[in-house]
Amino acid sequence: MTGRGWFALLLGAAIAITLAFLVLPVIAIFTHTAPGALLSRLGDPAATDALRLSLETTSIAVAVIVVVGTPAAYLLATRSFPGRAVVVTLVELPLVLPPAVAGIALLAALGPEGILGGALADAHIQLVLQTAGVVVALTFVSAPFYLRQAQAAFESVDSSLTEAARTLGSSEAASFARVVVPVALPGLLAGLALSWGRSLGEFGATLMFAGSFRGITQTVPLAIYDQFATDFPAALALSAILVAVSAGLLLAVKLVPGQVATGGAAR
Amino acid sequence: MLLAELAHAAGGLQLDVRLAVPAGRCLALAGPSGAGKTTIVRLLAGTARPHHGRIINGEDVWLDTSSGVCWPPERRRCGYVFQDYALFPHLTAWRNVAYGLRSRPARERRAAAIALLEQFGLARRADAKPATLSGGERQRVALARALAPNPSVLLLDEPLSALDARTRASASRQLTATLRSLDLPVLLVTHEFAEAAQLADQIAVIDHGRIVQQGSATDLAAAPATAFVADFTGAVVLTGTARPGEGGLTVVDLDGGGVACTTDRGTGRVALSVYPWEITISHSPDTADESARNRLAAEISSITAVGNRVRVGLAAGQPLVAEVTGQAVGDLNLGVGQKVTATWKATATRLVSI
Repeated sequence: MTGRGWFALLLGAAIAITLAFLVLPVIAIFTHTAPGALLSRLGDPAATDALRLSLETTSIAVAVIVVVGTPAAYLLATRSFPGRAVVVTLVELPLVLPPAVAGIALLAALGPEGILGGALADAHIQLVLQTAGVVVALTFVSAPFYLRQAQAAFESVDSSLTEAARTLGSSEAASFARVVVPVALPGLLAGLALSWGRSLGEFGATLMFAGSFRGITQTVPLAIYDQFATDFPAALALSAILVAVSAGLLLAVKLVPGQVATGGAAR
Repeated sequence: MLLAELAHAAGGLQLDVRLAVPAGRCLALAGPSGAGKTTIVRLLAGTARPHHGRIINGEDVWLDTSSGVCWPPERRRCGYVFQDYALFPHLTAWRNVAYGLRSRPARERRAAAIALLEQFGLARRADAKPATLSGGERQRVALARALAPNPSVLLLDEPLSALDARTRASASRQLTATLRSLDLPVLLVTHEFAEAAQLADQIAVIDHGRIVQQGSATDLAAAPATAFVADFTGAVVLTGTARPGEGGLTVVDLDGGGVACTTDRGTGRVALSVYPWEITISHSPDTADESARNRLAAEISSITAVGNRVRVGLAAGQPLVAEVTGQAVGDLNLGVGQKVTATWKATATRLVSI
């Protein structure tokens, strides 16, 4: 056997093991129960409540992340200022926080006894044990996924494109909207999918900060955990739905039409 | 008329230049990479701001650091052709061209863009994305886009350097024709003397952020002010020490051995420049019936065909290059390693002080 032959085999074996390990549990969710039984579980009001709540809260969280995070990521990508590296690191911090720590941290900051607890109470805003609290927890843990990806996408847009737009009469804001965002779009969408996926699966921080009340704070992952002890098939059915929705999101981004390469394509 | 005085320090480069470009004229800023050429263009376009300076275009003061005036790029609206063209990758060719026409109604925009593309022979590529255009087509789209909003100044940053040699010749001819038809100040940046000579009326040779000499291509080639300019124009440059010689000639003892004379006057440390096509090659060291005054013994170090000419690299005390025909190489049976004599006239030898 030639030297290249055994190496190719090694690579092939590695990817086969990787795939088997990563995909087998996912397949198991769908094969453990018959598809018909899975579907019939969807009629369960606990399941539909959780699904509705998950879609609502994650949509709001992702919308907030995109609206605030896109300009913030553009600033980080295009401006140099003292302490920029520190800011970038701080923004990424929630990525490495264990979810339980994130939950405690949110309680310490925004809970009734937290730093901003008094101010929030004065403004008649209650987050803990409320749907709004779920949105806060989701935003906190999933924002860095979007910010990181968006920053990288903006950094890869050739600055001469912005300069060209400016000399052709666009203000900085207009060249951002008409050139930078469209060129960075594939990267932005990838970031959006990542942070949406992360927020759909969020468990620990939500549980600690918002609790697990059906219809109010019990998102799909919390409902799965709730039912897992008492009704395993119901937990499986919900898991299957979550996998399908997450996979759908990932696919939708991969298939985004007009995958223009960033800046470099004009060279 | 575009007038600019710019002083700027960036990345170890001290920029200090004064430029004046009349309408209908093209000034080339020519010099090696890192000389500060692109920085000057960016300062003019307004995408960078100098530490000190003034830019006046016609009646408009674009920049005056002493009174705090600084128009943003969208107000200056320079036509700017970027080195890599910077076409918007997400827009078709016609939408690229129409980008600067926002003030016009939507229907007119397309018509105007198509008309311009037609003028550049690109109407059938109007709906193509930049990624599918050839290098030459991109260059023309970039030029059409820069000209579409009727700019008051045109800036061209290395407009031909991204093209392969074949496309370059035709693109260069088209660009020359386009520039001739424009009645606005044009500033061209290039690192090649030949390109500057073809496209521009005046050439400002820039080195280390300063203009070392400005003039027409013929002026610069005939009377280079410094050894750098001589070298940049493509001449062979030999350094040495000058002393007065017989018959009003100046004799130069060349560094590394050998003597050359020139009809120019000078003393002390000097650089001699001579064009490669003025240098002839022969096998015999003494050519008594020869009018050329300058002879150097040399060894052939390289033989390279360039089109229908052959560049012969010569190792003497200092390296030389002679340009001869292919027939001459064959007739003389020239080969690398041969000992030959390089000969050129004192009258074709320019002297500059260093």
